Amino acid sequence: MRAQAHTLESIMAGVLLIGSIVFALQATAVTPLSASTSSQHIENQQQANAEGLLATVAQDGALKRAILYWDDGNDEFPHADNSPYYTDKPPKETEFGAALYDAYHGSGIAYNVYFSYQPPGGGRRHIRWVYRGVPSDNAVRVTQLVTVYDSDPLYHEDGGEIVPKPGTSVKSSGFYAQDIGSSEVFNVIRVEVVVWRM
Amino acid sequence: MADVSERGQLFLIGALSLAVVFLLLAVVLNSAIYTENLATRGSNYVGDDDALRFQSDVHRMGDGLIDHVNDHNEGQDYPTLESKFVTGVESFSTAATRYGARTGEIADVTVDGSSWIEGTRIVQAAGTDRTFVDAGSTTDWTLVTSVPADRGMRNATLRVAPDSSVLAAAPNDDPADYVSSNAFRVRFAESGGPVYAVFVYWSSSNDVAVRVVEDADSDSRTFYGSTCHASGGGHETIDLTGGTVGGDRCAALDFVGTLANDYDIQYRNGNHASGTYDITVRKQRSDVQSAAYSSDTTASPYTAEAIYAAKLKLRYETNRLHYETTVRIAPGETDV
Repeated sequence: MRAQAHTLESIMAGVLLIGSIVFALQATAVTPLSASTSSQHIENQQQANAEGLLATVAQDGALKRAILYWDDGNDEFPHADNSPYYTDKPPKETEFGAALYDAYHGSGIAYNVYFSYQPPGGGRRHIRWVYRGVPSDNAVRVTQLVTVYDSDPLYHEDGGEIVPKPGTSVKSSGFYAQDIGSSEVFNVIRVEVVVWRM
Repeated sequence: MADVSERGQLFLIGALSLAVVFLLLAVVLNSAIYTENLATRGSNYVGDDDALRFQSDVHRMGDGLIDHVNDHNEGQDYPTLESKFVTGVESFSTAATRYGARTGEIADVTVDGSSWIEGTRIVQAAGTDRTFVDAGSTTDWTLVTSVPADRGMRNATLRVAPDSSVLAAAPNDDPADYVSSNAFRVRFAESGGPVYAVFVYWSSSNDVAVRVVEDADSDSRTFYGSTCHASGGGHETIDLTGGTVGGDRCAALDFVGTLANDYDIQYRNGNHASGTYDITVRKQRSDVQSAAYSSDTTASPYTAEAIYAAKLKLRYETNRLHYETTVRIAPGETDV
């Protein structure tokens, strides 16, 4: 009888020991650094990537040309597949669209691009340029300011390139932004790129 | 087993303390992982990237606004140009502040009112391709005298029509032949220094070519750098301050950055080149305007008041960062 009690005691000891070890190992937390689509490393990397892309595109004026690439006759961005904005892919005839497409196409990363502008009375409005869905919880956002002047023309495609459309101006045409005042500055557009892993 | 009377209780205590030890192990492991997470957070934690990005946005806005105000207000006087620039910067600052307020930043730009540097634009405007003679059709004339050597000229571009009937044929490959030929040249005559002559002619490979001769007035003249060619179809752009010909880099034009004394800008054989030009110099219009120019901006070539440079004070604040700086706006200046 006592032998059976001893055996039971040692078996229970063994079970308790193993149970504690298993519990301690399972209690390791799932942290933001765990391998998943929302890891902090991936967010940092996407932020750096998107900032670099936007800074390069802004420097040589390609961002401004993409902003002014507007079809005022049809009140939409040219060849927009979900008027007035793009959903499938950005316009590759603009250098900004081509850069976004080359950087993110086929790598499982989605992006939205918004152009925010100031209406005359204050506040802020935005218009979508590329919209590919509601971003996940771990999206990163990068912004850049671009100044548009009263005399800037609208742009259109001519032979695969974006060139000024003669006879148009941001002031006179049905452009999506309005003149914010009597100064030479027409409006200040904030370009916002939201990037997340699908 | 040990010969203890209440072995069960000892056993229970032992097991519980072991369980507590394992739990503490899990907590220590957790804090090590979280420390590594904090240590690898992106450097954007403070927001210094945003401050620098705002500064480059302001710089770009300033460059565009100075050029816009100068180009679209020809014939206005200096106070008018300056006040238009100030209202433009105020519009930008209001917009930037409104955008920033939504994300908890203060982004603010003002013009440093004591920092105006006034200059003059010398322009031959687009239209029919006029040759580079002055308003009275003199072929050899001086555009401006005593341009300051240090930051005295910016955005000096000539757009030459590739017209082989106007441009001179290529001279022989000798500096003396270049000087004695009838090719059009822009001369930078330093007071007490060598004279640089930039020759523009029609080369034997049927395109516009640019060659620089150093010390053009003395017998020890030599070539500076090599020939630069431009062939693109329409007017070829020769950017003297940017150092490019037809969009490609031209090392021979680097001499502009090395000029050490005040210099005059002169044209010779202006009838052997046609097109347009636009040069901004740091001199008052009253010092530049002469009989060589037409009296107002309706006929080329003319002079117009222009803002040469301005300074903008910008401020960027978040709850973790306070950044203030002054940027000097002078688009097209040589990077010396």
